[in-house]
Amino acid sequence: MKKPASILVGITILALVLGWVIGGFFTSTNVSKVLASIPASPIVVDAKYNKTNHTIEYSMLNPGGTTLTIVQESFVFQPGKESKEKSYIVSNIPVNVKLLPGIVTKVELKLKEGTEALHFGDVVLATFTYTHPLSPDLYTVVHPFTMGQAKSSTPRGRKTGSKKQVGGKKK
Amino acid sequence: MRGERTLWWIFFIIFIAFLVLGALFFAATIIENPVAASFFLGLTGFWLFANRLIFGFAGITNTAHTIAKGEEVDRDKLAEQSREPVERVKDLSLVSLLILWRNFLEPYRYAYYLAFFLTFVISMLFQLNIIQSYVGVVAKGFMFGASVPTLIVLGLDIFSRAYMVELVKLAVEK
Repeated sequence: MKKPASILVGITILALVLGWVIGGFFTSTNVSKVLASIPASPIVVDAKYNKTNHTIEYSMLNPGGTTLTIVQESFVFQPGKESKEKSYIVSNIPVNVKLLPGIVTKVELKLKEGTEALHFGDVVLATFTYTHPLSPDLYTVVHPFTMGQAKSSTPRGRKTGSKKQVGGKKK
Repeated sequence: MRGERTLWWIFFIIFIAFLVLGALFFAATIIENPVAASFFLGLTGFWLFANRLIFGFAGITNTAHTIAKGEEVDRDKLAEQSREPVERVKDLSLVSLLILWRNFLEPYRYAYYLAFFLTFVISMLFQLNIIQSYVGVVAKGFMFGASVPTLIVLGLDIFSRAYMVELVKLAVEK
């Protein structure tokens, strides 16, 4: 009987393929679970000044697989040439914003009440403190915002810092 | 005699301990991993329904093989398998009895394949994002668990049919 033997071979090959697929399925679910549990740092994709509310709206992307929570905001205001406002610091504003995985979330930063609207060249250096679900530590993201520039740009401090470094290398 | 008995007991206790440990490890894996749990559920659940088909098709294949070799077969036992009245199967040949046995399994086979197809379709609905849910991975695990006994049923089904075809050919030649 030739036929039953060939059927047996076919079924064996099918069983091997099925076992391979099942093994691959379990491996992939485990790997994706591990990858999803790696926390990532939020990225500020966009920042816009809202004149009517006197706030800065940040669009934050959480590229990781776990939910991050912003627990605290603080910022440093430095006036540009056009502004009459003095520089000031506001620290420890308690907030509770959840950054869901893979989604851009809007985060609002209220500027000091009674101050002037932002003018061209004003710099707001915001610090966001966030927590991971896996550790009790606090992490921070610092975002420099310069009024009048479309995207985030280098603050004054960083520019001088880089110059100094270059100079040091030359020597 | 006494030493042999104590040795036997020691081995028995070690065997039971291994069984318990294995069951504990298995339970720990399943509790930690919902996908593994659904895989196990699919495997055992579908095996429960596949049991009749597996034993039926394996029995048909075995009997057909024995008949083809020309050895003696217990006719009364074979006649019992088709669940037909004794008067009806009294004068039938062995090959006809085998065909009746297979026909008896036909509705079970149909229902089993239908259940597996439905499981497959549901897991595909999740897979193609027609329904979006975390349950999708669990449904896929269930489907893979169910596919193991289904493969055995499919193999035995094709196998027993091939043997029967050979047997019918032999009977016609005679």
